[in-house]
Amino acid sequence: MSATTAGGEVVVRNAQGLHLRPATEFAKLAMATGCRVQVRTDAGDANGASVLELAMLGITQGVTLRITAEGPSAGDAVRRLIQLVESGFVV
Amino acid sequence: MGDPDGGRMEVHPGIAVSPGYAIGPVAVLREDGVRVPHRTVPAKAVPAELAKVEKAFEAALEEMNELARSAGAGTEVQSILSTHQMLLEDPALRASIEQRLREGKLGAETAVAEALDAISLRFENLPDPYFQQRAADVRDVRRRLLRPLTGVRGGSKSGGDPAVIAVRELSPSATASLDRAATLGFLTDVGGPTSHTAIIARSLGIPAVVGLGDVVSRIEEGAIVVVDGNRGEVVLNPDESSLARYRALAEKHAAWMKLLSKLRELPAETRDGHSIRLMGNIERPDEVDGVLRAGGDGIGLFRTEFLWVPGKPPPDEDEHFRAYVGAAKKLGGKPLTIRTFDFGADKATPDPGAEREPNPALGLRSIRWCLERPQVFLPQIRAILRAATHGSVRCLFPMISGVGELRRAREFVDRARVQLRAEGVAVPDHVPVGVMVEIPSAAVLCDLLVDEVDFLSIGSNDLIQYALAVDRVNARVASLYEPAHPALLRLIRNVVTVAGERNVPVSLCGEMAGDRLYTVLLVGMGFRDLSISARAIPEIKQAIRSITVEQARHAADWCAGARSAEETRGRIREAMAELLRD
Repeated sequence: MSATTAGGEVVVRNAQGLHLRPATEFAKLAMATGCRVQVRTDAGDANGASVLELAMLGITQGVTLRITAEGPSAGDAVRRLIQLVESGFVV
Repeated sequence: MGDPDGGRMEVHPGIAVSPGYAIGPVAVLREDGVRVPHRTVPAKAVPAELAKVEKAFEAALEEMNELARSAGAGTEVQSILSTHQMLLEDPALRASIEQRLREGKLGAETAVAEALDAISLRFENLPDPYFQQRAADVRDVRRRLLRPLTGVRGGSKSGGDPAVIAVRELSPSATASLDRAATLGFLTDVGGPTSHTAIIARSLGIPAVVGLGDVVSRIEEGAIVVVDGNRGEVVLNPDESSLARYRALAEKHAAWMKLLSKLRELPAETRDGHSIRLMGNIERPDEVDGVLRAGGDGIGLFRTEFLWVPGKPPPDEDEHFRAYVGAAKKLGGKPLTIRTFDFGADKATPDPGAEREPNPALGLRSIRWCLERPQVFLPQIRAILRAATHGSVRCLFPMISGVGELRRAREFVDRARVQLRAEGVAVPDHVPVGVMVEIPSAAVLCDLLVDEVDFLSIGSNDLIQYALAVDRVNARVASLYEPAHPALLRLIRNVVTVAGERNVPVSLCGEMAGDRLYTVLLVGMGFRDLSISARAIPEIKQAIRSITVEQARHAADWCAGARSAEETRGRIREAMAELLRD
């Protein structure tokens, strides 16, 4: 499988936003995809596999995340991450 | 312990957050915001400093693993630790330390301190209070990493003599690293009933009083103190008579705890081998721990009103869901009975648009109010269905007066299920639905209701109020509020009998179930499920273990012949005296 780049946007729906626990779920999934995942908001950029960087963006409900992934099956990785955010971080 | 050279006795009121009594010398913890001097190193020393950082991470992680093991799975301590563990393992944290160290030629401790200070500063500057508070977690991790690097001992009292810990504010990791065996109690200047300190003290079973104001700075190390976790008081330098009084109270409390722990292991079973399911009534998810500790078999009544904070908008589906899943997970497979919103009358509605009613107990309250507000009710039902995939969740509707209202409430369940399935969300095929029997009409019509529900729960508090037309909080008529009233007993008996014939489980929740005077009567009428406060579980369990179902049936039949509440109570007492003689 060749390395690809993909991107997508999603709005955080759950009331708490990206608190540490949701951020952990996000980072775990980002890590599991095997892709380099980057998250961008109006507040700045974060490595999608870093709970700390995600948390430091202070993402609350209603914030739009622009997710990019680089690596094997990047499109699939972005789709799964968006799904996780849309589900309200239920795993 | 009564130190003749001790200072004058002082009594300080605070907030009782964890019950019990602690008497002993105090150990004052100073908050250890370790100051780190700026140290640079020659370029060739960088690899050695990096190795030190690596070692500090290893030591911190190892320490954390050990603490997590001793805390036990699923505890609050463990959840705080897992947050810190996650921060320690974060790739961005290491990268930031390494970059500072390489580029600035910094000593290991300087690089660690500066990197973590920058991170906690960023959290402090975020607008959202939740994220601001994460700065405290970062500072905690900083302390942990600096401890092996600077040789500074942390805030733990491990290995010392047993002492009462006094500290302005207990940081999560200081709480976690305290040596349980050497910690008699806690007293803190700040904090409230839901602070981390409170939750952890309760989960460790250590007496604690918080929110004392400004007391800690005035305590001398080694002074004798009493922490009264029942009343919420701290006594500094108690005199001889106070000491004697508190020692007696402590002894009584210890004896009670011993009985409790003995009973916890034993089943709630009558002498002739019938088991009674003793469940707990709770108002918040973290109270599940107390119910399990007391030996409860699940939750028979989870009041959900706490979720709607007055002045705030109603909780959304996720807030409901998190609370329910949190409780369900703690319970393993034991039942979690979630009662939908029961606002109105004594439980003031947080709805700012609510109209004043001349007679709120008979007004638009509870399920009636919910049925008119799908935007509030439906998210709750959806969350209950979603949570049902994580445990043995049951949905309980309050204040149902008859079949029509039940069907309208059930429509919400059907609607929520269809919606969720259409959204691709997993929902179990069957989520048990039950109703509270607390309006006399429901008790009379229970033969119709049982055809359309999976279980019944008698709410004795409201049933008494409505059957006898007595407002129990009105002191002028409170004496007429009578659980032993023959009319009430007939209503209850009808419900248990009908439900028993149709094999529909019926429980009783309400103060009557937690009063051991009525245990014989209730078991004799046929109850096999009771739901009571965690505190009452050991006592009721003991009552159950001292009778047989046969004896209880005789007693209940005999009481059924009583013509007044006084007569009923007299007969119960006589029956109990006879049982004790056997």
